[in-house]
Amino acid sequence: MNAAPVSVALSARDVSLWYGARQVLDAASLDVASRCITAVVGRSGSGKSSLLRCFNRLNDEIDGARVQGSVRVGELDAYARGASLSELRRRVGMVFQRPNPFPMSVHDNVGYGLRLFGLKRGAELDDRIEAALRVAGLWDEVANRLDDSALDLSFGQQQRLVIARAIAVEPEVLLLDEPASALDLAAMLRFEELLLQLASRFAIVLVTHNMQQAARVSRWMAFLHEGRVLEFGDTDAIFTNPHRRETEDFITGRIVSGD
Amino acid sequence: MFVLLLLCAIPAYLLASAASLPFAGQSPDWARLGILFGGSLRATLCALVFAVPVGIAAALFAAHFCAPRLRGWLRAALELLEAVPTVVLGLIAFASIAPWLATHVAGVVVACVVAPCALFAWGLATRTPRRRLGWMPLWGVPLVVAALVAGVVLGAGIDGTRFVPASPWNTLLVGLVLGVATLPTVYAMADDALAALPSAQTQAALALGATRWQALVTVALPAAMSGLIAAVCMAAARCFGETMIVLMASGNTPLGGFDWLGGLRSLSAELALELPRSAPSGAAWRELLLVALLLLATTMLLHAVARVMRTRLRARQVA
Repeated sequence: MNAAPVSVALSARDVSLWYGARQVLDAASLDVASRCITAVVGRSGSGKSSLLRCFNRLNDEIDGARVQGSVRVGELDAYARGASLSELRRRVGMVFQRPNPFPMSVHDNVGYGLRLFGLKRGAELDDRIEAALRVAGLWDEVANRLDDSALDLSFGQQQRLVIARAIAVEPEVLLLDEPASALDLAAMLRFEELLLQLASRFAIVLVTHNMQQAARVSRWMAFLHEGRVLEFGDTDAIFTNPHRRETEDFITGRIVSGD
Repeated sequence: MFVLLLLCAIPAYLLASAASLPFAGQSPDWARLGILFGGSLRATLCALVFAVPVGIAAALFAAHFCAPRLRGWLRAALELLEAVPTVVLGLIAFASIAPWLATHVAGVVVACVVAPCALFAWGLATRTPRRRLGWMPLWGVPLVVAALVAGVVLGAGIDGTRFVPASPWNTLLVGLVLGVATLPTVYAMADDALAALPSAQTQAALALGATRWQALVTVALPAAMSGLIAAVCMAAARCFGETMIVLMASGNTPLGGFDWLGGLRSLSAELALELPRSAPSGAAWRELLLVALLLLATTMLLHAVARVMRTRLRARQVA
């Protein structure tokens, strides 16, 4: 593990994860820097999404999942006894692979997290919903449709909606689980611009199997292989000079296949 | 197509045979029909009062809180319950529960209040709502049993003259047993409705900091509501058409009103009881045909509502 980032928003140490008897992660450690994108790359099944779900303890919801190690978000020890799950998940937002809006209005979707934390109605709720939609680049398209069902939005709009929903509670860290994998190239590039804008406000962890995407947007990069973080450091450094043969294979393999 | 034709043929046949009878000079006994309908309605409502809360609560628990293995067992057990012939349930109601119930009405009422309260208190005390607790919820079973027994004992203490059923075979008895009989229907349909919801939505709610309970109430329940209404309608249709249990446990006295401790006679029981006694052409026969028509129309209506609700549920999920 080289170069520690300057200001650390989330730090994971020796995180191991089992689903029943099957070990998925083996002592994975990495630091997520504030205000930039940290990419987590690796082949399918290397444990990328599982690692992400350790950061907001979403694995707790899975029958038979067991986690060892520590995850810290600022001063909050995520796996400490008595740690508040809702507090952790307010501070660590998540966007899933496919957009999953709730079957309710656009307004209520974005306001869902705010309502959970006590902001029930009124001008402040509306303002914060508008702010989140603006940051997600969706406001202009839905300003007149706030009361429409979120399920009527297009795929791309739904994707930005779930981002707005995640950032409305102003988390410190934003976890993105392969959010661009279902987009065509043009949409993906637009989406990456949005990511870079979001990175000026949040610490972002981007799980992707697309090496070129990682190279384009991320400042830091972790390469996951069979549940282990084989390499973690500056993205450019890993691309120009990978230390491990597996990393090099993965990088070159991807580039050759033109994905 | 054939089934549809058959469906249309049944009411057509009943109508035609009713119309073809020589008009006997007197109009049908509408008051009696109304009382019979009221009897069926009373039995159905009373059964739903028991079956719906328990069935839907069990489905919610199965879909959102319990371990998958436990859920499989729950489903299997309730399917087994569904396989019990209703005549057996009726027999138990007639022979064992009825005499006991006659002196323990207050106990049953108290138990029905105490048991949910105890469960709720236990839930608050343990703050369990997590999926991975596996078999742990089974500890709730002795708790519920204990609460029920305690309720009955408590109720026996205060049993005065307030709750004396007019007859050992009454609406409460029918409701209890019919409720048990329809529990699998409510559970299976509610469970399907809840399981069909995209788990991604629940995951999103959890990831936003909702507890399992909040995710359930704010996201899953509203989305599954039409499915749950469909479950209630199907259960109502099943209760309404159920014959054996009401026949054996209701006392079959055609009484009006809404006395939940009085006896009743349902449309279905009327058919079963009067059929052998009526000549197939007289006025009594025509009344029976009317009863059958009314029964059919009501159950079909309930089924149709359930159907519409399920279609709405599916449309929501596709969108």
